[in-house]
Amino acid sequence: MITFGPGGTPEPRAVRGGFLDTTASLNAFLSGVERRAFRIAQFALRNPDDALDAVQDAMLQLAKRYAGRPQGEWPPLFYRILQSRIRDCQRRRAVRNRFLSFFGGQREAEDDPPDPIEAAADPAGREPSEQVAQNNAMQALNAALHALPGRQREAFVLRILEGLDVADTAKSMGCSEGSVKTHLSRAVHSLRQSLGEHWS
Amino acid sequence: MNEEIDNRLLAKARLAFRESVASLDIATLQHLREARARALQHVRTPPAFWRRPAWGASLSAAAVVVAAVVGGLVWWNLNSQPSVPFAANNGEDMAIVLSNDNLDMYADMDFYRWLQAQQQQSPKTQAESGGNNNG
Repeated sequence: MITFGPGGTPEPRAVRGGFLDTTASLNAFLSGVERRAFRIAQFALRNPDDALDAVQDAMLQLAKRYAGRPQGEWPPLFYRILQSRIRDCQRRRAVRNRFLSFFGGQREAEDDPPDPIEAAADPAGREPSEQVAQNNAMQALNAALHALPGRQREAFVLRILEGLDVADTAKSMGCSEGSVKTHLSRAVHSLRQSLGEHWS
Repeated sequence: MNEEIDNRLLAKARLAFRESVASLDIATLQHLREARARALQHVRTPPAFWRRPAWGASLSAAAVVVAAVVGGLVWWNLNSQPSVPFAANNGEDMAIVLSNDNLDMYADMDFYRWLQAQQQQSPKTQAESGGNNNG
């Protein structure tokens, strides 16, 4: 049975048992995850261009190297590549900042200017007050997630927001299932502290 | 109590995330579509059936079996030759060669064998043969 996500796109699980050929199946899988993957990359990188690059790279690598793998393996593989690209980007950014600060230049802002996506008109056509409340909630979540250590953030977004099971989250993160549970528990504890006042 | 707070927190986080995904702008969606199309161009077509790992393994196994059968048949054929008469003849011949006798005798072996066979014939045959010779 095919299920559809909030954006009208097939959920990852929906294409796992499909009988389409590889390209069509991969297209269905990628169209189902690309928006969420973009947001997940944006949580970590806080820059839409870098997030887009990371997602594009992850799609390309999955198509080039792992299209022949069983479809059930695609979600953890895709998110593993994506997390790897995110870490690469963060490392490059850190090196660039060290280089710039060594020569007395301006550091690249860790926090980019306000996201124009957040400021744009709501395509869903919601009431302004509803939109403002939602934007505030998202901004609070964004800030709280950004304050988390990298591994805790990965565990939270993959397990809670993306909905991978513990085994797939562990594969995506390249660690044991026990580590996933530990990172997740700490992440939830930190978020409870930081978001409690906004959301409780 | 904490569990209830956590559940509410997680539900709100999921909702905020879903809303933010649904509210992506058209330009970003277009970029994602283009990126996906570019990625799909790099999907490799599956290899021909005989190059697939399953076929390769089957063919290798079949080749090993065929080689084993052929090798077994050759070995069996070599070992099933009538070896005793050959060994006896061969031993007899070798004894002559090693005894440094005249090699002409070896060349006339067939004649000597015929002669030996004649001498071993039954007495009746010998007598008749002798009678004829005497007569």
